[in-house]
Amino acid sequence: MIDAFTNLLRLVGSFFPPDLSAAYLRALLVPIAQTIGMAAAGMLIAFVLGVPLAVAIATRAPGHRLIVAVLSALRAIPDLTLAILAVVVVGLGPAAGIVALALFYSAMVGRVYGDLFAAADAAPLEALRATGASRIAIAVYGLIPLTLPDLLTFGTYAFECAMRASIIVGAVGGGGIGTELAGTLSTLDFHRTLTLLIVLVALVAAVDAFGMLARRDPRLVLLLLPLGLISLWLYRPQIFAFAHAVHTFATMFPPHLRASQIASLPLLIAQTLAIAVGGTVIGALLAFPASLVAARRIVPFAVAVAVRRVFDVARAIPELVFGLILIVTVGIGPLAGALALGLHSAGVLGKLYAESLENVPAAPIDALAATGARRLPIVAFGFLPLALGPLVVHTLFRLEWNVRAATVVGLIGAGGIGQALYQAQQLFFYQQMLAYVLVTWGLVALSDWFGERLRLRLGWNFVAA
Amino acid sequence: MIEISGVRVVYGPGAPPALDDVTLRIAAGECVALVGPSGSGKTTLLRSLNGTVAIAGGSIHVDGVEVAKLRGRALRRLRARLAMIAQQHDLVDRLTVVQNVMAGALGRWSTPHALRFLIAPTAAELAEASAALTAVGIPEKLRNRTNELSGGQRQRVAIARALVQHPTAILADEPIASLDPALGEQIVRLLCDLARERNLALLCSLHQIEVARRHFDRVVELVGGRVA
Amino acid sequence: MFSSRPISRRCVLASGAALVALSALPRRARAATALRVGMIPDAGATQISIDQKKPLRDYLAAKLGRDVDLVIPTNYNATVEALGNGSLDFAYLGGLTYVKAHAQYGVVPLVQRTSDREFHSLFITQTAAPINALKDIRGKKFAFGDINSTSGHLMPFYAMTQAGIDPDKDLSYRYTGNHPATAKAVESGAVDAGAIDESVYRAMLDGGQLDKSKMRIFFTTPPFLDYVWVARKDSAPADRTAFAGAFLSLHAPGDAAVLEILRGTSFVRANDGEYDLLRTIATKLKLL
Repeated sequence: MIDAFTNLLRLVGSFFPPDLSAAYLRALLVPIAQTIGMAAAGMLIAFVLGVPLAVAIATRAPGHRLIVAVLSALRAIPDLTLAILAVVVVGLGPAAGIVALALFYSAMVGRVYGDLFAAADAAPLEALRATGASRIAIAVYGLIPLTLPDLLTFGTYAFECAMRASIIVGAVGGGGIGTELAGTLSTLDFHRTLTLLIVLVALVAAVDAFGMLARRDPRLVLLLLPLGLISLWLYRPQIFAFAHAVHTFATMFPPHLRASQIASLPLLIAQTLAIAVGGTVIGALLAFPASLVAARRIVPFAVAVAVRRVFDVARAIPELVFGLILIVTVGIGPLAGALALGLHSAGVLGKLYAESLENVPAAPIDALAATGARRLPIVAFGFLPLALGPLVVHTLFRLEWNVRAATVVGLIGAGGIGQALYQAQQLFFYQQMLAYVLVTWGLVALSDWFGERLRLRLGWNFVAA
Repeated sequence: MIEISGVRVVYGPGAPPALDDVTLRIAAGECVALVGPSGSGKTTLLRSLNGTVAIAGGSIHVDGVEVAKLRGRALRRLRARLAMIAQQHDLVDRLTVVQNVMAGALGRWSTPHALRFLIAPTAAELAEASAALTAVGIPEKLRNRTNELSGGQRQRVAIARALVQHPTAILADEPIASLDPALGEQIVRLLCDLARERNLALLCSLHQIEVARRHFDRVVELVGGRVA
Repeated sequence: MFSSRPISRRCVLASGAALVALSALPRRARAATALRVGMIPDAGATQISIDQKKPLRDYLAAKLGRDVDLVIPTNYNATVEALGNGSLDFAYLGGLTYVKAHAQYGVVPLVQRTSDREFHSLFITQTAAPINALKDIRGKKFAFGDINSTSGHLMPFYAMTQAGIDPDKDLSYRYTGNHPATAKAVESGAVDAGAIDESVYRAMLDGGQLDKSKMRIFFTTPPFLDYVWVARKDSAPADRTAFAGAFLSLHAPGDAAVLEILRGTSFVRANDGEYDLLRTIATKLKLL
């Protein structure tokens, strides 16, 4: 036990100090620009494609059911898999990352904005419709202004996700910080890994800060337009190998697995689910006690803010990056995968738990305080039972997300269906790969569906975690 | 025994005083109603008694102890002796009735005791809750979830919680504001009967002046933060 | 709704600065005419490592009379697909990857290091472990590198089957993804033993990244053919000749800097026929 602890300390110590030499920081300018560029260009495409789709869904245009089905299907494919497939079409480099991000986030923006539009106040829209306005006019004069605050909140969240995702697609050769991170880890150059983690956290914090500003003055969002366009130009694909891509994708059909592989599918699925459940449990166990000291109504302001900064750091580092670090340092296998998911989930859940605890009604808490109760009993008799609903829903949401994430960390050796997928791809067994993609898709779609049903039954639903 | 003399409360610089030179004495077993329009300072007065609102002048003594001087543990002890009852929204819905009632004991329980009670309440603790619920007339609701109760039942639970505090005084802030008149009067009668029976000081703010006259020993009217 | 407050000047300036910074980066326009050369990802790609490979890039650019972009993808599959769709002109591949890329996209072998013709893979364990020969790894936890690696997977796997061990039945094994991770997994005791590329292992020992006193080699595979530089199928013959010539004319001490990057001493021509043995093994192991 003590041995394990000293090993852990030595391990953490081996990342310090970060390499902050001028030469390295200068060398990082290109990867940083690539990462920002990938996220900006990918999101630009995602909004250009996603918003019209969302309008089509919300106004029940012909074929909107098909659009919803396709978008859900697309959302179920891990972004890492999309990135690798994108390499086939547009070659190596940031362009592949942009394509992957654009596809994944078009689907996300389309679905979520569709839901937001559908929930918009009906009366003004009816009035618009009564004037005989076209769908575009309804969107421009009705849907978008009506839901603008929600659009911005989710837009910022999506951009933050895209920034992290650009790290993920980078890790398979999309370029940028992700590629650099994978490189430093495989050469065991941990000082530079830490530098990159710091950069990553700073980038996500910057996006967060930008989002806050944009919510105050939505026109700031327009600044992303030139950034996205320039990135698109800089990182445009050198090739569009359509003929080649058609040929390559054709070799994936029909999907096929050997009998022995079919026999091992249940085990692989079980492993993936175990990683997802394990990660969620670890995340919840870490986040729960921490969130109590991150809620401003429970502890002094300074303490809460400090703990929240820790959550921010854990949130900024994607599961895949935790996974890459753990696999090199702790070892490989499902445990590393679950830990990776758990550490990131702890950051996400910690923040959400703390917010739920802060949002409980004041009267019962005041009543408990008025009995002269101590702090912890007030938490146990008041905050917890009052916040139980949101706490459970956030955890279920995370579990759903973690099923998808479990396939992604599988790609880097954590095991499960993701690892089988990656190995099939690496060995060019594309028919097998497609079979595993379909299984993954089914698994993620099933868990999304199941999660949605469960939340509806609990009477809780949110648009985004 | 509560002694309020010359109390003044100001929320923020430049604001008109919420309470101005309020003097009031409530003996054990005495029932005092506090009436007056909204914003006249009733809630502020009640909250200043248990130290939730800081006073800018004057003094408040509870059982001879000056409230303004208390901090930390001593303040918690004072609060444990002053039971607060608000409108019907101050119960924790997801807890059972027993748990809400016994929350009144939190002021005298240690933290481990409080946590242990949530997991494994003892027979003695259940008996105490049951006795308190019998005193407020709903012994059969012991095992219910709190969100299954009606408005009047919720106020009875809040009173039971107050009794479990073994208080020297009960401070009630508009306890019947959201109840229908007949039910409200029942609750007021219950409060006054319990206060007299157990020799507690009762200070209760109300809107219904006739109800106040019918049941209370004394009616004090606040207007613009001053005793009228 | 849109607020009436104007966008602050500071924001405009900041975004302007960001745009200038972005557009000042090396332009991709150049890449259209540059030759794109892919390195293998086995030792990890970092910006620093690309910068450190500048002498190689300059050397090739001078010999070929063209701009050269060095690209280090992070996985084998991406490298081969890039050769297939033309986003790489030349690439450095491991033996197994070459065999696959040749079968898939007809890539042409050009040159290889003399050492690549007699490559070994090492079976390593902890000094104190009771493992002294291949037969001792039965029932143990074992680490391979990348599934697509010749020295980290194919040849050691084959060596086991030659020794009468069926890895699928006789031991539990994992893929660490790369050679350094395999070494670390053995050093930390996460696995009982592992198979690793000999050049990476020695470089790690020399660089102090592995504790010499903890590690022991208990088996070395017979020599096999490994890494090779290839051209994509439809690259210009003149480029191929020039590229191969550039490597063949590398000699110490004049080209020491370039040779050090390539971790070699001299280069010879490679030809496809010699990879038949690898091909047979890969087919037998269902990796092809």
